[in-house]
Amino acid sequence: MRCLLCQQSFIQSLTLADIIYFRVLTTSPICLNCHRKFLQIEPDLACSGCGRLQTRQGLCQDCLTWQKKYPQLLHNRALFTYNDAMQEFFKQYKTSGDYQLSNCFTSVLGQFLKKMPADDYVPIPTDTKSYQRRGFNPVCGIFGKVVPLYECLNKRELPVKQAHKNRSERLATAQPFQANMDKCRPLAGKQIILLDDVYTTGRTLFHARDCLLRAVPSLKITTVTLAR
Amino acid sequence: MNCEALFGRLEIVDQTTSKTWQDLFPGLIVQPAMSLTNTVVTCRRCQARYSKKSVQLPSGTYYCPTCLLLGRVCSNEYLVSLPEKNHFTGPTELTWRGTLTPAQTEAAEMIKQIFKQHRQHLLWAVTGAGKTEMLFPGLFAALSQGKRVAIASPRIDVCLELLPRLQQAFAQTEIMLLYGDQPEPYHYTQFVLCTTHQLLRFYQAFDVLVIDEVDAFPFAQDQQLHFAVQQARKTISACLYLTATPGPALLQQVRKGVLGLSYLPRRYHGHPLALPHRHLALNWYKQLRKGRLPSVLNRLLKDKVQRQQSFLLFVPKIALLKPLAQLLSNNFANLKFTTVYAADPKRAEKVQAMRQEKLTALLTTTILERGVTFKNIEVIVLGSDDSVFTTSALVQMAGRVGRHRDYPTGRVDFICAGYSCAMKQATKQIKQINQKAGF
Repeated sequence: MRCLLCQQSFIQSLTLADIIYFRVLTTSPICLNCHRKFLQIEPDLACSGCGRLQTRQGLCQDCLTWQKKYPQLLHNRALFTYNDAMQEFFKQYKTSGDYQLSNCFTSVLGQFLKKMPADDYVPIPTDTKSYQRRGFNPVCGIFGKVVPLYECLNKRELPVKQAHKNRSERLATAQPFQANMDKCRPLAGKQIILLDDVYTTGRTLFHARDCLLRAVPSLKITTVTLAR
Repeated sequence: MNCEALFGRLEIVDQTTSKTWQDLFPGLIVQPAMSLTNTVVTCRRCQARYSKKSVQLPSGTYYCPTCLLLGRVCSNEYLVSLPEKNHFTGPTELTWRGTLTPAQTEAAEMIKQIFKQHRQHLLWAVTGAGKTEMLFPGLFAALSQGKRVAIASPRIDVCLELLPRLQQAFAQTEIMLLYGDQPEPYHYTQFVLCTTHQLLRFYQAFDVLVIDEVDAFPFAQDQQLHFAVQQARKTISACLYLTATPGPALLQQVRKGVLGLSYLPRRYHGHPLALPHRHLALNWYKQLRKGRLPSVLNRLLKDKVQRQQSFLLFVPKIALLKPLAQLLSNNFANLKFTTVYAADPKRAEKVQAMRQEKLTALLTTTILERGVTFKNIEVIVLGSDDSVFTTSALVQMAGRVGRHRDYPTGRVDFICAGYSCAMKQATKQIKQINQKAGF
């Protein structure tokens, strides 16, 4: 096999369990070397608000600030730390538009989301212009192969992309989402998970949650991101 | 958009832009970016073929993952370019002040003729023959006739080393350097220096195309890059391949008569190439794993340290660098050395330190096999029978030795656990070349 990230050919070694049990063989599209560069977050060491890796338990400084504005925090769970390798991955996946990379984390995410059952999984949408340029929604690409997605949000175009702003500008961003009322109605009373690719400041996810709660007040919402 | 920036250059545009550009620039060549059959898509830029299913985007279009780093090609887009018009004035003077040896002059004259007669040619010149300088008269003649010229190499290090030398020789001509992460945007120049991948972005642009180090990775193995060369040159144009170690594919083309061939077997200072000494050390790897220096290596290193001789120590794997460095610092406390590998962030600085003789030794992988010149250097290859050391890699590594006029000789040692085919061929090739040079 050829690694999707480093283009080196590699051989996936089988474990004893792979041989003995009759089960579908999960093949990883990236090699072990590349996989090691991503830092997986231990759930015990994560901030209970945003899911970031920290040395102590409890809320991190950012979440304490958020708590003043939103007493009910997101309880975000993230799979990986946003390090250099992750940044490189997103650059190639989102900026260059290499859609094949959406398969990189399918199996790890599958195991991860299995532990968090929910009635529906709602991805953060992209605006129409970005979708046309890229040809895909990056969040749906990553999570679409893992769980069935329920798209009920729309996003209007931002004049400046979140990625091009600094922290305070990002935090000042106005609500970009609109709920699709027809699609939201069946969600009443359900437990859903909002999915996004990266949690940076939390602004996007709080906006999305606000928007959904305004449309369907009885929703229970938690969030999951690939990176924090 | 300036029309000059499209001369011989392939740009990717969507349908609406291609329509407006067709009105704006008469004579615009427009072709769909990908060709589709029932099951397969082919990228028109790099000729990569994929099954439709594997490269489909959710929006329904297809894209090419192979040449993604040059900007994504999508099936709903178009490749456009304008025919090369050669809008150049050309230099009036060659600003190079060196001199060529008689053998070099002869070769330079031949290169001039190749460029003039638009021939395809392979120049087999030994490592350290002074290939770049030999190109100057020919390049100058072509440039002054208003021809568009490109020098491409598979290695970015080679390009970066060539640039100042070329700029000095052609001070009147602007040279555009193109490579993967370069900050400067493309603009139209008569002289282009680029990595071979960048040639995919040109379409019938060059009258003279020189490929340096043809046998280097990834050019030799990559069919896509051979296509890039054919695509980037004009239908009537000269193409010159330079190498010290031609592979079987090139030599076959010579036998078929597609390529002309000439040798330059003598180094510019007239000394023969150093012949490698082979040392059999059956369990060098085991010894290294146990934390002992293989005895052959120990003996060689002691000798070098005694003579205060600087040297390069090549290893087949990056993973070997660390334990070996540890052993070396334990056994030879006074030896000033460091390790360097491809992804090393301080790679350029370390090589520079070695050049300035601040270091006595470098432990390295195959990345330093070519394109680098140190004044007074000897070479040891540990595990030379490993499959990463191909014939050309071994010849190139041996060719690091004795490149300078003042230090024309030196030792090359191969330490191996068995003789590989590549090693035998490398020794044979070096012997052959020395014989051709009359030694």
